[in-house]
Amino acid sequence: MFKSFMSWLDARFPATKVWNEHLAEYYAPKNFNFWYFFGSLALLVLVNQLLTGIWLTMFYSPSEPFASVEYIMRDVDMGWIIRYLHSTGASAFFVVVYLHMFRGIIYGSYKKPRELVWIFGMIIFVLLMAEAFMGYLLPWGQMSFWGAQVIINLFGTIPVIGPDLVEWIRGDFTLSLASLNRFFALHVVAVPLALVAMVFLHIVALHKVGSNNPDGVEIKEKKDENGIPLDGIPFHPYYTVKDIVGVVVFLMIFLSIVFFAPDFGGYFLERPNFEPANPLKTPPHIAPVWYFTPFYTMLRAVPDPFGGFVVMALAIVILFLLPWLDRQKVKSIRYRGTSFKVLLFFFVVSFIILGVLGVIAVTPTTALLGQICTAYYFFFFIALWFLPKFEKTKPVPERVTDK
Amino acid sequence: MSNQGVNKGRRNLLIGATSAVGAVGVIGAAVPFVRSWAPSAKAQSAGAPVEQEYSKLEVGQQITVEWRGKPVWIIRRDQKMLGSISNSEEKVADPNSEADQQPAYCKNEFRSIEPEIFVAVGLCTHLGCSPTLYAEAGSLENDWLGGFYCPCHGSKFDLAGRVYAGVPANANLEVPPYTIDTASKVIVVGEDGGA
Amino acid sequence: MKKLITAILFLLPVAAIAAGGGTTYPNDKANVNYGDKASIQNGAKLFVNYCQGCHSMEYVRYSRIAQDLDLTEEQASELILGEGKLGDTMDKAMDNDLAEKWFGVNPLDLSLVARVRGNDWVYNYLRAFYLDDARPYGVNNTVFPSVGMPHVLSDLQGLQRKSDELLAVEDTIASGKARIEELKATLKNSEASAEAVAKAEEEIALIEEEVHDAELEVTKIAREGNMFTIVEEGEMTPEEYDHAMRDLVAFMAYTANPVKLKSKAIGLWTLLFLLILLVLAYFLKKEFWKDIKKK
Repeated sequence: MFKSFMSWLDARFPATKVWNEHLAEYYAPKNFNFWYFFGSLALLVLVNQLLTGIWLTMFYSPSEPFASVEYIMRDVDMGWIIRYLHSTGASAFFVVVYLHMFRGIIYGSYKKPRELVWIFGMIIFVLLMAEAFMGYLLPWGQMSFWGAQVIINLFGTIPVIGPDLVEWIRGDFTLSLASLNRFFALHVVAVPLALVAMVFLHIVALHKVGSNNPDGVEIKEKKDENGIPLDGIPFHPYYTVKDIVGVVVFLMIFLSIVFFAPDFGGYFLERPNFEPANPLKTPPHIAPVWYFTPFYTMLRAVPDPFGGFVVMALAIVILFLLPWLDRQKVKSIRYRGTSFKVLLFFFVVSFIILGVLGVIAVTPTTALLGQICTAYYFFFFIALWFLPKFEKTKPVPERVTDK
Repeated sequence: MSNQGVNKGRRNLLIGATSAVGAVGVIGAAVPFVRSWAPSAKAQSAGAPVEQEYSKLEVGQQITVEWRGKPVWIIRRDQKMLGSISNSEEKVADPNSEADQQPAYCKNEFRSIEPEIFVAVGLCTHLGCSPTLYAEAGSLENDWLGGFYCPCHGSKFDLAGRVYAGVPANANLEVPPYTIDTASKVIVVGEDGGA
Repeated sequence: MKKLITAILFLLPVAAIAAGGGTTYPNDKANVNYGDKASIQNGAKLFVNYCQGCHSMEYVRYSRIAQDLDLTEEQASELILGEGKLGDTMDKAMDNDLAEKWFGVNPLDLSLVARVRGNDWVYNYLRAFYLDDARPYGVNNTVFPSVGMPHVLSDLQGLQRKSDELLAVEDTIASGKARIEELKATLKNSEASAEAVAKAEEEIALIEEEVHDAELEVTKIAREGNMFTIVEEGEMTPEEYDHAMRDLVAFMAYTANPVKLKSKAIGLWTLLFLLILLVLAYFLKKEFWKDIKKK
């Protein structure tokens, strides 16, 4: 019965072929570690955001945004769970994506032949920032309003066209429901469509070249008589059962936040956002949501606003160039030299400092620290270009190491 | 990789157990999504019972109140009109109100708590048009006993809202849950409980 | 434009956003117990009697309160203002135009105030009204200086003024700061001799220390509960009043986040369930990965 249905289907649609190519006969290196959970987790969070987002759209009303969020939180049966899943999901998305990107950096996953995988991933990251930014306006609280106000005004710093551009983005002389309505359309339709499309391309590109691994060894170079990589194992069932464990652990952490601390001490849901947007009253403390703060500090590190805007944009652009900036052939940090490890260590430290500085008040000391960390952020990428001249790498094994 | 020595039984048991528990989880996760579609507290508040005073209502007169977005009629019937209901016994399809179109306390000859006061949802059970009251005998046609006539497709009902046989509608008019306080002459539509 | 943005970027941000509201005097803990329904019910009564004349809770329905706090229909109907129905939201008694005419502003909706300001802030605010002739309603507030609200709870609390202790310390701070300004003017004066400058700087350092000590003293006075002296007694003793305010804050904390308790309960069951799933998933993974280890 099932067999005859599958042969009927396969004659018309490559169901078995796709299943095999991407799961049952997709050979992934057998030495994936902890860091390799975050790709599938990102996919899980994406599905969560899409589902809860569709549901929120059923109850949200862009003509009375603040009241309709409270309607979801109070009047819709269990609507608060759906909303907290979505708001916590936004932060969770950035947590897993930052860790996923860090994995790429330590194991050199962006290097030849995986440059396109990285580029698609970076596009996803940028789309995600746009999605998060526009989504944050929708509750129409004080932080929504003033955060968006500041960021949109950044475009006003662009010489010549700036002021007109800002007006065009807002569709009004100030940030208003007209602006919110277009952000709503982009947030619920346009950007998610683009995101899903890019995620598809990200995976297609990955499965063309195959996954990297903690040793940075190309498993396709050593195959058995059947053409199966010696160090490869079928993604399904081995990594599906492994990822289920990862998913459950992730859900335990994620749902703990959803049910016990959805505000997360004011970092996931900021306090002033429980007050409706008031264009006449700026809240005493404005801070972007945590996942934007490193870039926000870079923005503030330059005294000239347009300069800050350019620096912030460059910080993103330079990430796109990473596959070509890092000229070291050795992929994994396991076989790279101490110089790289030190460089990377301080990169992580400075990125975290940048993030922390984004939520605290500026003093002369923190301003200077922000400038130093911003400078280091760019220095890291430049240094990668020159590093192969000095770096003492270790010999890379022929096969993956497996304890 | 080799499949020798695999304990198939143990493996299948684990697959089964994990899938079963996982399925419970999926169902659990679906609960908020399903329940959120139920009428919200706002809708329930808007659909709350409606109070109507009827002391000024005259014989053969009808007032319409809105309850949950539906017109609900309150009509005062005198002995003559109640008599017409007894006379229409043979013309109606469901004389004993067997179909579940009224609360239990209105399943009686006049389909009401107090015979003089008739309360019904004013929507034809055919396709939901609102029928018109022709209270007087002979007002619609020569042998008309008095009742409701739906202009859309010609369905007829007697003064207890019982549907005539052989018309498009096939069920009696719906009687909503209500309470009636004969002392203060107040009807609460939507509140269950009879008198 | 550029100046505006620079201003927004550099001047406004950002203290610890998590702290919300910063330090207040008094700075006591509300210690709200979300599970204490009697306390929240009492708070609801206080809210209806003392606050709802001017302040609405436009997102809160009476029916929801009745359900969450186990009120009977009769108890619930006692809360309902005027012609309102059980399913209605808690609108204020006063209409908006009149409110604006009286107070100049429309009194804030309080549905979410405990989540914006924090429970402790509200608790301290409600206890910090003191007599001040300079204000239109004759009262001021140490937590929210120059607040536009009269002390509506004065028949419960009575009237209080700043204690002599506090006034003395505040005086020290104010005069110290004024003297520092004066001395700084001396420093800026280019004609001042080196000797005078040195002397001024020395004195500034000295006074700054005094001011700092005085500020610490304010904290101490607040901690010991000696900020105010009762001038006219109310219906309640100070302890009773604090207790009543704790109930009122508990009610506001509840309305700001009505699902808090339910959320915790659901969360616990969810975690328990996931724990079972985790055990199964872990053994499933181990079972399959035996294939690979064997190699």
